[in-house]
Amino acid sequence: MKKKRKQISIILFVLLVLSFLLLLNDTILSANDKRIYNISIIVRGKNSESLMIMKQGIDQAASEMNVNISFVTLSEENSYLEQTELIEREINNKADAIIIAPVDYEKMIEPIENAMKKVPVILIESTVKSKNVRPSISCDNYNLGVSLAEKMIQMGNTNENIAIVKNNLECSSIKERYDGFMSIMKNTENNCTFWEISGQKEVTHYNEAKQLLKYNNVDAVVTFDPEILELVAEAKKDLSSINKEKTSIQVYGTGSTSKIISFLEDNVISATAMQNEFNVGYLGVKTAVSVINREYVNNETIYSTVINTQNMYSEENQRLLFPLIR
Amino acid sequence: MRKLIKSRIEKIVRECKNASIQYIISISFTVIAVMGMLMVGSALYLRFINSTESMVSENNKSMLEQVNLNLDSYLRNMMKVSDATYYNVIKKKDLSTDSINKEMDLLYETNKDYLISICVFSQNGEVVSASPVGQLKSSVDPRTNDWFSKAVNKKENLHFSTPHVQNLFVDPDNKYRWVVSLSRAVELTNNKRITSGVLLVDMNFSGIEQICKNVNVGKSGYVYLVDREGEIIYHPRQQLIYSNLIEENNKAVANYEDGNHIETFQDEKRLVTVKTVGYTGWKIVGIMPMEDITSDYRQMSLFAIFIMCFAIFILVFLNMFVSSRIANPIKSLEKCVKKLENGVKDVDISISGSYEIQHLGKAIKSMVNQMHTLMDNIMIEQESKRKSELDALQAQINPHFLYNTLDSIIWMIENENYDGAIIMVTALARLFRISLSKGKNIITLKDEIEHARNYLTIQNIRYKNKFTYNIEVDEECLNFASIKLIIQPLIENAIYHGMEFMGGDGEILVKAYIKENDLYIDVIDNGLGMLQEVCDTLLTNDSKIERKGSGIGLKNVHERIQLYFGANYGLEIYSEADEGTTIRIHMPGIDFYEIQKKEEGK
Repeated sequence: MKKKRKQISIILFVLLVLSFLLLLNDTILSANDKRIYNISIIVRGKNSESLMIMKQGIDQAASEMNVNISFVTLSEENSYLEQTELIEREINNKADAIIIAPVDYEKMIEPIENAMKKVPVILIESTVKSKNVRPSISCDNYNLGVSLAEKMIQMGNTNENIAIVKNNLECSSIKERYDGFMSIMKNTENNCTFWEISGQKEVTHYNEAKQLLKYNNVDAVVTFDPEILELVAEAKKDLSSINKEKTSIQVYGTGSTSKIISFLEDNVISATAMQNEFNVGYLGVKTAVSVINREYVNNETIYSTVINTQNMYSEENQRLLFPLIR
Repeated sequence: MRKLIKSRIEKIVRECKNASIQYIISISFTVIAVMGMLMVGSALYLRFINSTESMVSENNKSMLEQVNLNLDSYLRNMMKVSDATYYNVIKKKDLSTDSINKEMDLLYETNKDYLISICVFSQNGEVVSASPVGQLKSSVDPRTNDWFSKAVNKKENLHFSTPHVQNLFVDPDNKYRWVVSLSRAVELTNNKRITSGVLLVDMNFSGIEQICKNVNVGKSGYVYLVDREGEIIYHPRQQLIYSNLIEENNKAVANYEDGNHIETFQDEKRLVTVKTVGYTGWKIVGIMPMEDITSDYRQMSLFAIFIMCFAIFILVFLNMFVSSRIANPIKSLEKCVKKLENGVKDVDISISGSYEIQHLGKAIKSMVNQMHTLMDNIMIEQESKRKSELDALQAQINPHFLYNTLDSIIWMIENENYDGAIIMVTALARLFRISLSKGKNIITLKDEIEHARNYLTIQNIRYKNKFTYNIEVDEECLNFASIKLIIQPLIENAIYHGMEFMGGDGEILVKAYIKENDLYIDVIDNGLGMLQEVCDTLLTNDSKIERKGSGIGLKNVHERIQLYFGANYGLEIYSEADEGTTIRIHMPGIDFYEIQKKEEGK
């Protein structure tokens, strides 16, 4: 009897302790939910203005998922050395994950693969030439190029001189856009010439673009980099105020910075292909958080479309171009 | 299966039957307490859930009411601006002669915080007046816009649009603002001719946003705004919806009545509170995931379980304590009784616990004491019985008597009195045969009388006829049972005490008769007799009077009769000095053969 009583009391005591632990555990668990993540985002340009929409997506995700964002721009456009350094720096700064837009799809393989051993790495916009590196978040860049080409043809460029600016082709997104574009263009009777805008600084870029426009007789210019598009458009605008002939040059490109939009509205740019950059930012952060929590994630493909002056204010496109600012 | 359960229950019941009182008390108390606790706990829990749900929905309702109030005043404000512009400015002026820019600027300035622009368009889509003054974009035709066509088609109403980017005027900063347009058809007086036009008030979207943004509905709830068709006007994650990253159940909500609804959207159960805003037909929708409420339940239920466990734990100990307090005295009492059962003497019976048990203990104690005294008495009785039987046995062969008798016989033979010797020897032989009687204690009265007669014969010869004797026995009592050797001592007594000093005319009369079903045997002598006081002491007094003869005193006979037949029977002595003594044996009238039959039957 005594033994039995002892047993019963021990069992009850264990029960009590267990229930107490359960109670405690629950509060601890709910506290755990509020973990704050540190995520670093390394872009490939130095101009964060062009990434404004994407940044809004990032901010939205950050506020929803308790993320501290450190947004890192380069001091020099498309410098893979600097990007490599920055990856190291951010890892040392105890980032939980790194979101990166790689500048070079070959040279960035090694730094990114190294970084992946330490923290999760999520690629946005562009990728690197490695199957080990995933996930990546971007639109179908090849299709984007194809759509842009089709839009050009639709807008009447069937037998004309087209200049294609081949800058930054080492970046996978631009390369793919280019490939997609060319796959359509080579089947047309358009005469394609290739330009390479050299020089390091923006001013020299601008001047060179102006020179190229001025001394070449082309009907259309195509670029696949938002920065270059801005410069070319600006050059065209300035030229056309001097030389009315140059107004007829059609400028095509990709990207959706506010400058590009205003050029689009002013008909300086005829059409631009763009992806839903808000989604790139939002999903980038969301994916990063998922990877930190060891969930399996897929590569995300982002919606993309080609916009011209006529359809830029359609309900869908205005939502794409002008995110509601919080 | 049922059999198994049944057998199981039977087993439990059986075990309970054999279980100790403490076990039963503590188990049943605990079971009842736990059941009670569970019932109370679950009742409270259900009550809590009910009240929480109603509280939450009431709370949400009042929250939306507040939002509605704010939104209503905001929209009213906008409508007032529109009204003021129309009735106080446009209607009063002839556009061909007067400018309305000044008044419109004034209105714009006073409401600058909420407004982006106020403009008046002619029916051809030309800007009549605008504040702030702006140049219409070349690529824009206002007539293609939704707000314009609505205002034209439904002249009498004010129209609120869904949020859109304002796209009318050239903005040097390349700023694109989200607005909600309030449009109405107006009549423009132009050179005394009345033409129609459209008045547009563009409200800053952030004004609406501000109203809805900081409304807290639960932990992860939120408020959004839809128009009559269910198009989203404001949503805290609007851009995500626009980007198709998340979805909202806005189309379905458009058909909801005002009040609380519970819907399941994307596998999530949620509480939807709907409130329609006056005039616009917009609906404020408060969304609260049920999980917000139920997570509280979980916490609460965990807490309740913990408290219950704790209470049960304490109760079990309390029950154990109480039951031991109740059961321990009973147990110790039971232990004592068990000892008694095993024949342990001098058990100290514990008297403790509650009143009833104390009483029980006391009762058992006094019972045991009584039993002990009874047992002692029985022992003493048995002892004395044995002793008296031994005495009787001894009496059977009194050597002195035998010696005297044999001496007398020898003497007779020497004197050649052979007849006397023969009589004497015969009598002696008979005497001994009866006194032996195969070791039996009970014999027939006939034998007992015979025994007495033989004795008297012998003694009469020995005392040379100093006395005469006579025996009178009723015929019907001859077969009655009698204790062996009870008359002889009395005769002996009579001879020694009564006859020895008589001169030869002593008489002894032995008389047996039945009176009221009892058997009486009187031994009467006419000797010296004694005082009544002496008689009374003879049967009670222990002090041994010097004895002669067989050694069996009156007291022994008396005791033996009482031992066999009870205190109602025994000897009675009646005596009177110089008159004689009567000693009366009183025994129940029992047939000897019936006793024998009974004994054989056993």
